[in-house]
Amino acid sequence: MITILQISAIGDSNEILMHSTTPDGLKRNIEIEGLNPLLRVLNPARYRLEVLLDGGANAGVRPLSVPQLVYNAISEPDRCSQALRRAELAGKQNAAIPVINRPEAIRGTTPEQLCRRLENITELRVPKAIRIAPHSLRDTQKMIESGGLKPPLIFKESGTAPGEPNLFLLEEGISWHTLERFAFDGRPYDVIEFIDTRDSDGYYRKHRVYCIGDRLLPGHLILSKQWHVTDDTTAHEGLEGDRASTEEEETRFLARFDPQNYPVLNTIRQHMDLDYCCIDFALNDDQIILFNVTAKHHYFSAEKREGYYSDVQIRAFNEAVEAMVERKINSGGV
Amino acid sequence: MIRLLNITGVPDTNRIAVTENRYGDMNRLTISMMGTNSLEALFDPTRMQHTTITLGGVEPLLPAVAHQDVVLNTICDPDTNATALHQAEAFVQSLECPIVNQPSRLFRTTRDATYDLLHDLDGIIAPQTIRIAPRSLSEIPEMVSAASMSYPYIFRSAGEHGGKGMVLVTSEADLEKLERYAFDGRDFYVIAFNDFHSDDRLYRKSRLIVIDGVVYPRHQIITDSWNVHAESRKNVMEKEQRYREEEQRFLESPPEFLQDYGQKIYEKLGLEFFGIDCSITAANELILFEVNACMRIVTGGEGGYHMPAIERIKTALNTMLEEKARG
Repeated sequence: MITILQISAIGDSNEILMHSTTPDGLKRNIEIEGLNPLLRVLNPARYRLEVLLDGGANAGVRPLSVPQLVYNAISEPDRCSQALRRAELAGKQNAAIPVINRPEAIRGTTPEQLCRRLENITELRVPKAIRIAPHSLRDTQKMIESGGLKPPLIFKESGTAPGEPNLFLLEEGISWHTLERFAFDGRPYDVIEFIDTRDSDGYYRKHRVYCIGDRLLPGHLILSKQWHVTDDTTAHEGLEGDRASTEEEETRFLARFDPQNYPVLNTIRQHMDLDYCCIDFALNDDQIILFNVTAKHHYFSAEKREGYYSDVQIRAFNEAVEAMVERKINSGGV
Repeated sequence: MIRLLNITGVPDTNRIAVTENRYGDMNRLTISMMGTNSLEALFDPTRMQHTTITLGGVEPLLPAVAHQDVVLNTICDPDTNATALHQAEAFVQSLECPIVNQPSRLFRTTRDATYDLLHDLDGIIAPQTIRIAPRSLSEIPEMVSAASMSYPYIFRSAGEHGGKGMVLVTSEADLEKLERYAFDGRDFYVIAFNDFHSDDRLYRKSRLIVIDGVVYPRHQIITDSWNVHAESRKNVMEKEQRYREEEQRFLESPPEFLQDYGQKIYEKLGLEFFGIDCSITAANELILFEVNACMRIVTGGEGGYHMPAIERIKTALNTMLEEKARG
């Protein structure tokens, strides 16, 4: 039996989401956003999965046993920075134990770090991004200008809860005062160059590819009339009449995706040094425009309707996870 | 032994705070909820058996509960927990037992509502308070003057308690300080500032707990700044014994007129349990800072001369619950 320790975390704010209660109101049904079910596909006769939840006010919990493999499921470097730091330290103290998604690599997934790590890949366009922590609107404007950015740009509070992004598109010619919707109390913000990826037919297309070990598998293609696509339901608002054709295009992407047609995705995977992540991007004349690289998503997302993936596709995901785990265990630690 | 149903509620954000994570197990977390005043530490287990339920959440349910002798609603902040309070309103209608702190009455305890309700009472100075939701900094002076208010005023986010997170705006030059807030349509309070220092230039903030119309002093903090909160004790009181003695005297024999003020406010609010943060002037008037059911009684760090005052509050609360239960 191989013991795998999954480390997940409550965010730095120490908050968790309450979904509902039991019918008698006595027990609360809570949701921890970082509990990625990635390894649930593993054969329980061969693998024992322990989940350790770090974070919260009194943190620094210890596992009960020494695992053969660690899966660091802490995937939000801003929201879970404290737990990620502890995981990093624990990893250094236990260097012989192999780790899926080293905490150091997760740190590279902030917009600013993505830009730094990937901006020199010639076949890729990465939006320029900076991190600022202003105390006034004047500070904000100065920091953005000295960072070489100008509207249109995306202004985003760093480390907000999943599904609740606090962001705003500051368009060209719009008053800077519109940014007063944000609090300038020293909290960090990501300022990201806005690249308009809308195609000539008026659709924004967001592609997602999962990197699982050394395999690249298509996650989705979402067509939307909105530039900011958060989930399938809101992305498809207003598409009712066109939904059949957009759905067909999405399904075609899933069925025909061939990683050999996107060699730059492999280059991104190698630069990021993550074992498991997804890459979100748009295509513009065959050039990839990067939106995001993150380890927080899972292909069994609740937003995907039943039957979204075929049995063959699900099997491919699951086999990729098993192969990644096997390879990691055999690789030993750092 | 009476059966007490204790109602708590999740904030409108549906997020609850983890205060202790000792085992790394999501089923064994210690949590607390903003906007609910946890009074469980005050319940006397020899007099009552309590059951705590939680309302609110992403997919709220109206729970089915066994018969109880009395219900205590501890959801206390309508600014942060309005959804759970509305749910509690609907829930208690189905119960056939006395309700302490009717959820619908809690909506009278926002800062602007307490001003509207209490500013006409004799001897009570309720600083004018308005609620605004500006979309930019430049809208604020206009909103303030439209309410016939002027400098100085205190600016703070709705739903925040304690001394942190508020700004004293004394002139136009101070408006820049408000850039620390997000003007995205959320609510703020603008509260007229009454400089309440005593003749010795120190500021005194008293907390009174009102249980069934009877006033019990909880503490009196004496400090050197207008922004008085628990940590302000360090500034003056921890250094000088005479100020601790002054607080002790206040707790042991509070001025008799406080009872009259407490009774008047109780009649207006209709709540069986609430607190008053205030300053007492040389003319025996009461300057109100806030009046609501969110005042904490036990914070964990109590000891010494505060304990008899806390015990009196605890006894009064348990007696009130027992009396309500027995009709």
